[in-house]
Amino acid sequence: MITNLDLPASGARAQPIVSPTQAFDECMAKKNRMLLVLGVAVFIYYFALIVGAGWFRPFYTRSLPGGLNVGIAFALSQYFFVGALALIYARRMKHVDAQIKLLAEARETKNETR
Amino acid sequence: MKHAERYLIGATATLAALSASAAEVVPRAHRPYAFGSFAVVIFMTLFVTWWASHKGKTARDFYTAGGGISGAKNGLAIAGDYLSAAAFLGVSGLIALYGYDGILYLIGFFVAFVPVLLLVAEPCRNLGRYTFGDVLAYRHDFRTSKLLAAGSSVIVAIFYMIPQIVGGAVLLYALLGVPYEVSILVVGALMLIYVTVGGMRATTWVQIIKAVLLLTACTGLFISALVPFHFNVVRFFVALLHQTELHDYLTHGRRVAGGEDVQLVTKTFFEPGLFLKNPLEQLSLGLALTFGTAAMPHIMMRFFTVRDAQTARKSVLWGMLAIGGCHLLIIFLGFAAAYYVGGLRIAATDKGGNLAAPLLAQYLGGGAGSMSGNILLGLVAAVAFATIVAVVAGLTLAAASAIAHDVYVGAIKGGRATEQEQVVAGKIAAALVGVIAIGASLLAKGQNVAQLVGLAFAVAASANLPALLGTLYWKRCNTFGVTCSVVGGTAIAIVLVLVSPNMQYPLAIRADATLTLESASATMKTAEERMNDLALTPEARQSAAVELAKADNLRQAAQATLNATGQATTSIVGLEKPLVNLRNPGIISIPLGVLFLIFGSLLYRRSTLAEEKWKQLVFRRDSGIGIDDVVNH
Repeated sequence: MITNLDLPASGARAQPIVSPTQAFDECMAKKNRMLLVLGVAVFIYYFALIVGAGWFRPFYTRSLPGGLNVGIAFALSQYFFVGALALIYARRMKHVDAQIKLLAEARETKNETR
Repeated sequence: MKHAERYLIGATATLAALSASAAEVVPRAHRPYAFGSFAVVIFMTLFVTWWASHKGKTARDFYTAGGGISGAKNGLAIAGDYLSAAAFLGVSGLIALYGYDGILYLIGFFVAFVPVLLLVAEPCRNLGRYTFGDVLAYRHDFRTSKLLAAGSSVIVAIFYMIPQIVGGAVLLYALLGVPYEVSILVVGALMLIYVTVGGMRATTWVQIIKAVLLLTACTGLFISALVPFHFNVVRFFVALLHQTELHDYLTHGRRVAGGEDVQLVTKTFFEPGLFLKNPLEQLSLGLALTFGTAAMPHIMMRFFTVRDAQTARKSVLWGMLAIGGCHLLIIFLGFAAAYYVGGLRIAATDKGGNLAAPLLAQYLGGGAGSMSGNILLGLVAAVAFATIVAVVAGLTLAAASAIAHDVYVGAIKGGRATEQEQVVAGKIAAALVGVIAIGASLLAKGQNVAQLVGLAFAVAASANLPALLGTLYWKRCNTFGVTCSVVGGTAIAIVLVLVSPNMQYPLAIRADATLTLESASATMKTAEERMNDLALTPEARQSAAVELAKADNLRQAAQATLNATGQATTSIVGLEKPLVNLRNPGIISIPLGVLFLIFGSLLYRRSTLAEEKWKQLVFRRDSGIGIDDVVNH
């Protein structure tokens, strides 16, 4: 959607720029894809631990360097995996926050010009 | 996995099964120190409540602490609201007794925050005002949404509260000898004071204090436990792996077959299988935890206490940091309790292992006979108690908000009520919820109420979450679908628990009791013969006398059980044995709850109201623009 707000202030018929609404919609589509990817990744990683502990116990007992075994390493890694995904989410959401701010400002400007 | 649920989240309730010997954990002479530690913690929370009561009198102050809590504070409050006694007492004990399998339980409680972060926190902040009902009412029929949300919120909160209150009371009894009924009234009175006098502001601060105390206590114990190992965690675990006491404990109860090589036996402590026998049960519980947490009313309510969605997100991140950090410390403390206190002593004090952390504190402080050991034990127990009352206060406020804001102000008064009416309604509702919970907890004396915790998560996951996610993310979702999901999901979760092994089956109980009776009688006979055998040493005869006394206790308990079951042959729903062999119904009830939502929405005529509001909801959900209308309406 392109509105008057998206045109350059000089009024010249230059190349239209992407409207805040359009940019916001695109940003939200990306955000939703990110939610899906992160959600599925965590779901698979967590339930792999549960399924492995239940049905693949011999694999979990394999020794690893430092006195660890696969089961302990996989279990403790859940905290770091989930923490890392949460940080990725927070980082990506900064871009979404910026888009929301732009959109809010554009709406305010539109309301003022009315 | 005979008692999986009980060990897992029912630490609070398994305490109910503590033997009388647990009351001797703190020697009588040292109880004043433990009492003193309790008093300091309780005084701190009461002072904060008094301070908070002067901070604001509006409905928004009462329900959301004015909506201006910062991300870090709200994150700590979320941790305070969420880290229950089950995690601190129950899981540390489970790890101390069974090693690896205890870790598996704890992880689910942390992973559960991913759906909260990704799907619930920010949309709830952008769409709601005080409760889950506000979010549903945004696009569905106002009155129906409010009543449904209130009903399921109250059910979840009460199911979750009873085991917490019972656990707090039994902790007071077990460590300080305070009678059960008095303890229940103390817990109930405290939660009512926090909520009715200080509202959300006091509840938030109580939760922050509790989270800080819990993290401090866990860190203190962690450091103390590592001092002998020069703060080298690897050296600690190597020492545990080679410990002969751990070997003896593992082979003593035939948890694993004995062997000459200590390490071959102790290695099993770090592998799955000592406790978990039914993987399907663990899967079911994992589903209930990961999907239920996001729809627990006391967790959702925390997102209305912050200014905007960005702060709600920060809250969850801070909360995850505090919860994750605390979990990692608890995992270590479980192993430390196994190393220092030993599984045999922990199990002898409480067979569920729920006193492992207080016993570890007592040991690290100097032992049962020392003043410092008992002060430290008292402090750790006081933190556990604060943990319980903070969770209970959050639940009381969530249930009270559902009754006052959704039912009274929303469904009855149609959203038109003065500030004062809203606050008074909230306080009356809190008192009502408190009285119900206290009454139910008093009636629960001697009952295993642990299954209620699992049931609370299962209802939240099967009823509330499908309704919430459908409302937020599915255009076709309508009021009828939400009704089917909330009513159907709640009903199916409750019915599945009623026909599960959680219930009491008199025939099975009598069979168990008869076996115990026969075995105890045989032991008594042998012990009596040994006592009368003059060829034995006095020490051996004394040991036989102790054995006789223990067997006699067992015999009496088994006889009492037989008498109590009377002539009954079936459970309260008329079954001789469970119909479903799962203690947690999540794996069945959650998919059914989702199906109820989908078919309910698709089979009913399209709702123009819901679909008209869809675009508006998506915009508000994602952007938060217009949030002030929600906050100020």
